[in-house]
Amino acid sequence: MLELLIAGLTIVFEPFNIVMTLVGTILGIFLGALPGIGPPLAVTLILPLIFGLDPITGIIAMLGVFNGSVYGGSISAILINIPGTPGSVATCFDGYPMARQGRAGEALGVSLVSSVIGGLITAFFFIFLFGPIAKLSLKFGPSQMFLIMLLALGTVSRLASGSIIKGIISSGIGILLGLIGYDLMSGISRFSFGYRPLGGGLNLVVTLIGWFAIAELFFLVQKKGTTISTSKLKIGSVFKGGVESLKHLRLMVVSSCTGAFLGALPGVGIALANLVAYSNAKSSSKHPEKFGTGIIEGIIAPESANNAVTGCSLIPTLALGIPGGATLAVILGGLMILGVTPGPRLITQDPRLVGSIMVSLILINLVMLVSGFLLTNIYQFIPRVKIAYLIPIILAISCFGTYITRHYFVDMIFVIILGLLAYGMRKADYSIPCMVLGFVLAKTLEDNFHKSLLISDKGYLIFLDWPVNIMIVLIGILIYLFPVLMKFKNKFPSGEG
Amino acid sequence: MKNKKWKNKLLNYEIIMPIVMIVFIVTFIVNVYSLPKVAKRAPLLVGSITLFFLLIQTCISILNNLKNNEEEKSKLSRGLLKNKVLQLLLIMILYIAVMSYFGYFPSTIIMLVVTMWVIGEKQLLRVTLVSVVFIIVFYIVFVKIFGLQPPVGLLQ
Repeated sequence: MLELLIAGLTIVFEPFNIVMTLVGTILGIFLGALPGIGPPLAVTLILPLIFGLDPITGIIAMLGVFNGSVYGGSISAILINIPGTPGSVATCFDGYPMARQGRAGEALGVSLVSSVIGGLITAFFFIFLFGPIAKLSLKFGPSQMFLIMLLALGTVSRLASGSIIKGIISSGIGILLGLIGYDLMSGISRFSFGYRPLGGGLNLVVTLIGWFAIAELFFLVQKKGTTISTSKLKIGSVFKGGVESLKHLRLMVVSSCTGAFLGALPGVGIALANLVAYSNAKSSSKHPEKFGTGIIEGIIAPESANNAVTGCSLIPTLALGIPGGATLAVILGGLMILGVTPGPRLITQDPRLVGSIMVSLILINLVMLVSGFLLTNIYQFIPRVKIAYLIPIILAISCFGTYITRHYFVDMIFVIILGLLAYGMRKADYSIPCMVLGFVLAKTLEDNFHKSLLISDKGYLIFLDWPVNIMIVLIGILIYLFPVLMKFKNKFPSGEG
Repeated sequence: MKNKKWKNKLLNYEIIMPIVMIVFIVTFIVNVYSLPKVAKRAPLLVGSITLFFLLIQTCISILNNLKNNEEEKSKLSRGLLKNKVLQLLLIMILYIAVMSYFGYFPSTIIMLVVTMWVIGEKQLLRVTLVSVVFIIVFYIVFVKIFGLQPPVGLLQ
């Protein structure tokens, strides 16, 4: 591990990589502070930028945008009571009241330091856990990989979707879209109708741009009013808030650990992590009645937790090739553009890359800290950017990003069709993260499924092999049945007839 | 009047999207049905399971919509010409069409100005300034620094 870190240090501190760390992080904060532009869209928008970059530089840029956008969501949450990202919903509860009391700067400082501490803790989890988990996953055969991917899909369907049926449908649609193109086993093209651009299937980058960027434009254009907000608040001292928050180090660490644990689970992500951490902080507080009135603890908990998700969510993505959510799926797409194949052998095939990721996770948080303190007076204007400017700019960047992927004009038509599909599905409350995960895992799922049957002398029963496979199946059943069992228990508590 | 009420209850995303997805899945299944077993096994399995749940969900959505007396928030808007989503969609299609002939930069400048105007930014000076600044920054960052080539139109 030490060798990985040393190798990473020498690469990450090259001048161009430092510049990309800075650019990525600040761009991420900027994008995250714009309500409606969450981490998935923020990372999607940077995909055109990473074409032609060195893989390590490209990954650093994506991680900078990811981390920055998660923190950036707190800026609009505090200043205008609109979370910039789903991970900052709970930050509104105490952040905005603090701002209204004339303590907006203090709130921003608390949020900044909490986010950085959360990000650093998750970076250390990544450094210590990635290697062992990657080694463990080397022991998995095709049937185990198939079941783990299915479990991930099932978990996302269960947790990221309001309705189980809609979650399953979204996953199924995603898988079918992912299966378009050449079958890996037979080489036969499916659902391409002999049309060459579809022969290789729907391109991942094009699909992600359609589902996140284009679909979001259709929502943004319907927002009433041309600006997000014009309310002006006194900023005050950001440093004061930062220093004050260090008095609650224990809460920061506990919330960060909560976020890190939830981040490693597929389908959970920043949206759930910030709410769980807030709820835990409130229930364990000596003064829970003060939560919601503008107290520091109400910002520390969610902001530590949401940034703590980032590093640990990378572990299953890089070690197993299974993205835990929408943003990780976009990052996975970016890795494929850069020619990096995530999986258990990544650490042995490219140790410099893994070491660079470890170091960059730390550097990104330090950059966020410095830029946060220095640039708060600029960041406060971000939520006031007019939608009328945002929409055409995002459209221009998205079309450019779509074109440079394969240089097919028809990809821009696909991107609009896919954007319309995602728009319609979101309007009908279908989960896009489920669809994205299904799409990303489709061919690997099928490949592992076929391989399992090829090596099996028991046919389909290989998927119920003792002990590992059956345990994975049982965990999946438990995840699905647990809420039903809890409802049943609440309906018939013990002691009643 | 009664028919229009029923039509309004059923004309929303909760019902239209499942139908769109059912059409897609059925088309996919028909397309792969004649392929060798190894090529069609996964799509048939996934397609069948998804179709099964879609049919259940469609029935649930139809029943819920028929019971629901309130105005559906996911209902498709009337007044298609005023529908901002359709306006944006039209802009996107025209943008791509113009880009295929004139290339990225001329079409993007036109798109920026038109879109901002349509969405509500009526100050021509600001619109022009934002468009020009964006194009300049874009050119410097993507073309000069990163060496990426945007689409060149058929006429160039």
